[in-house]
Amino acid sequence: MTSVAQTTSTPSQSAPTQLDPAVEAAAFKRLYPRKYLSRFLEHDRRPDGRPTDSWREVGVNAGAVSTANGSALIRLGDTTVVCGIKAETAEPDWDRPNEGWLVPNVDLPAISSPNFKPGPPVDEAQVFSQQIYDLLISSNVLPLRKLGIRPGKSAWVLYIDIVCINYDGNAFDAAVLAVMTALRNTVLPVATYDEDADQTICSRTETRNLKDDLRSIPLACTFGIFDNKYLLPDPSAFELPLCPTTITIAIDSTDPTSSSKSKSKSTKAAEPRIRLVRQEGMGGYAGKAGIEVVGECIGAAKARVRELSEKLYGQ
Amino acid sequence: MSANVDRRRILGPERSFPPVYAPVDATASGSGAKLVQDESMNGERANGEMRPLFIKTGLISQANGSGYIECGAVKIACAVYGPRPKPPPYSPEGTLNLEVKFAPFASHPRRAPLRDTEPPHLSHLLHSHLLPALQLHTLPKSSIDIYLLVLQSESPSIESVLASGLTVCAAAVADAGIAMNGLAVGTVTSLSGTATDSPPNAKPIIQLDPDGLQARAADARVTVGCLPALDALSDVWVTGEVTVDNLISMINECTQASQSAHATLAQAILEGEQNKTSGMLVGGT
Amino acid sequence: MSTADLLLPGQPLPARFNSTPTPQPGSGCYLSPNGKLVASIVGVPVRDGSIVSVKSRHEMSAVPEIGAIILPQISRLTPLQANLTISLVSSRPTPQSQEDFQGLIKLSDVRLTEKDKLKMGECFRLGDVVRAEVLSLGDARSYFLSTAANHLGVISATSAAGNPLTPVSWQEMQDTVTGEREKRKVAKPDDA
Repeated sequence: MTSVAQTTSTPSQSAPTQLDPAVEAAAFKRLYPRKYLSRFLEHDRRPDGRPTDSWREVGVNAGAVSTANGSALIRLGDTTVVCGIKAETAEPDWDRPNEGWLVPNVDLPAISSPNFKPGPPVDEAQVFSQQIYDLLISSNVLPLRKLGIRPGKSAWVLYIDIVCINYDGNAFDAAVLAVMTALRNTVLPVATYDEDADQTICSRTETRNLKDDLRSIPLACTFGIFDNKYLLPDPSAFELPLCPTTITIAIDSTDPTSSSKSKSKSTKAAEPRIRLVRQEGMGGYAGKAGIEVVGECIGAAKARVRELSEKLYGQ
Repeated sequence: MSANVDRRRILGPERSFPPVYAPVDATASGSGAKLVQDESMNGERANGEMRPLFIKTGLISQANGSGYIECGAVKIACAVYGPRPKPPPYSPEGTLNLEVKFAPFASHPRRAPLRDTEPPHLSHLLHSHLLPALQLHTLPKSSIDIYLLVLQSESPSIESVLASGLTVCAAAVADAGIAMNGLAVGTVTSLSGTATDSPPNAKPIIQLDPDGLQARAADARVTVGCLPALDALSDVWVTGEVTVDNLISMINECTQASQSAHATLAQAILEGEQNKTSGMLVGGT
Repeated sequence: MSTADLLLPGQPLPARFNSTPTPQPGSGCYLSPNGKLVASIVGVPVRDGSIVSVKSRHEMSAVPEIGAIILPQISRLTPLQANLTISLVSSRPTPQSQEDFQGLIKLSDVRLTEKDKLKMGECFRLGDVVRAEVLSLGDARSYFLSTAANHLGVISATSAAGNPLTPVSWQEMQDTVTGEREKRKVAKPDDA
């Protein structure tokens, strides 16, 4: 803790006033954000006190919302997201009569950040929604056939709504973890289609856990690159706008409790699949750039996903 | 394709329906009941007894002030941003912008975005309940933006959201250090047994802090905004049919209950202050 | 720290602050209709002469008020006025928002003397951080500010070459790398 206090006072030395150091640091941070950040990184610290190459602490709380079929509350440092899954029934599309729907939507509402306004989802939220949809479909997290009730007549629609309450950067990683935790937490009633009434009827007593139908559980890890020099895992809301390039990697998680048993069966399972690699911004031509940095990210992401898996499967 | 397709969201099928459950089977019991309705969990509670109230301030680090409240099944997060510059025209007083939003999963059935007409109504009501507590004349040319996010509610009643919403607003405004005349708290009572079709010997029953189903079944509902420290009311919202005498006893019941809610709120604010102080010692800004 | 002496909004101030004649209410409290001073924020009561106020124990973010010293940044220059964005009031950050508070310095409020010879471009440049005083609430958009005092003016700037400038006189600053001089309305440094 003492080292944190020391680094907090470092950048404030040149701030041009005479007040309490914490206020001075806040003033310096506001006027010269880039300088503020590089002062910290020169001392191998992030402005929130963690070492440069570290991630923020994760809190996972499954089943937080009783009005949803499945839910999760995730804290990533101060970033807080809630995911609630509500199931409804609908008539399947004619061209895929056996399949249901996954409908993920991310909202970054005005409550979560001073930079968001009330109204329809901001651009960032729209991009996140599409990316989570793509991740769910391309990774075959939940085969859509598992959501069929009666071919051509009835299927489940899972509305997966992710709402950010406190946006301190990197909401995407938190949102992906929230979706996966909520899917594992989802309980559906056993449903049958009543031909005569043209209606889907749900049992009041029999349920099924969606957990048993999940094929893979990818988790996302995001990095920012600052000044072509520093690779910042899990960038905060303050750091994110200062990073022209971000890299996101999603890797399949493995259940740490079951992996010990399955190891003997196949060695292939030991190497988790990479589900997504995305670089936003063109990256640099010197320093932290190019294929090397992507390799570095993948290495760091693997370690992080192992850490996240323990939280996820511990629920 | 119709012209008003929502292009900002991922869309599911054109029409979908909330689950329809089989008729109640008297012999059935167990885990499945959880899926049906989670609201009748109040069990044995006296009519004049409020459900436990949980309040915490300062959870939303991005905001200038924030609060979180749980009362019964209602869970609301609230953030205050400001004072912020208000765009022209010039106004000698501050402006209050207040928006209530429901998470789509916050009630039964799901609240589909854009199809929900309740939040604007609720925002308007809450605005008028909170306004008398604020001192907007101290904030010329500025605005205060208050956002509430309902994470869980007791459909079909919005009274409990309004009452808890008012209390959590006061917590968040106090946390933001924005001037108020006093701390506002919201309370609800419902009245039953007075409707013309009720049995002739039925006595009026006033239920404090009714849950969603009780509120819907009641003949009248009264939500009171109260500033207990000043012995003042900020607003009274009545729905349903009620005689003046009954209305007065309902309001009295509310103001009495406000005292204990006020104590809980005050305790939460003081605890929040203490957490801020210890947080600063650790070196956070 | 204990919370025993903390006041909450709506709570009357302790008797020693509320004795007759009732003191003037400062910030953080108000005179209630029954003639008592009542707190309007969470804080502790402080007496300063005949004025009693309630002070928060935490540095709250601030909004511009008349007489406050602020550190705005030049965002637009015309020959007659300079527009500024205000993100710091009395060294405290204003609440973060998509739009910052706006300030405006008229040519006549830039400095005390030789107002007729003054050229805006020789006093400020875009991006300069200025120490200024709030004169009035201004118009619908901007607060009116002044730098007409020795301790007010540019406190931090970068040169045309992009290097930091240091003050060398009350109207010139010097590039720390190239040594080239540029004209500014310089604030007298704290230690000078």
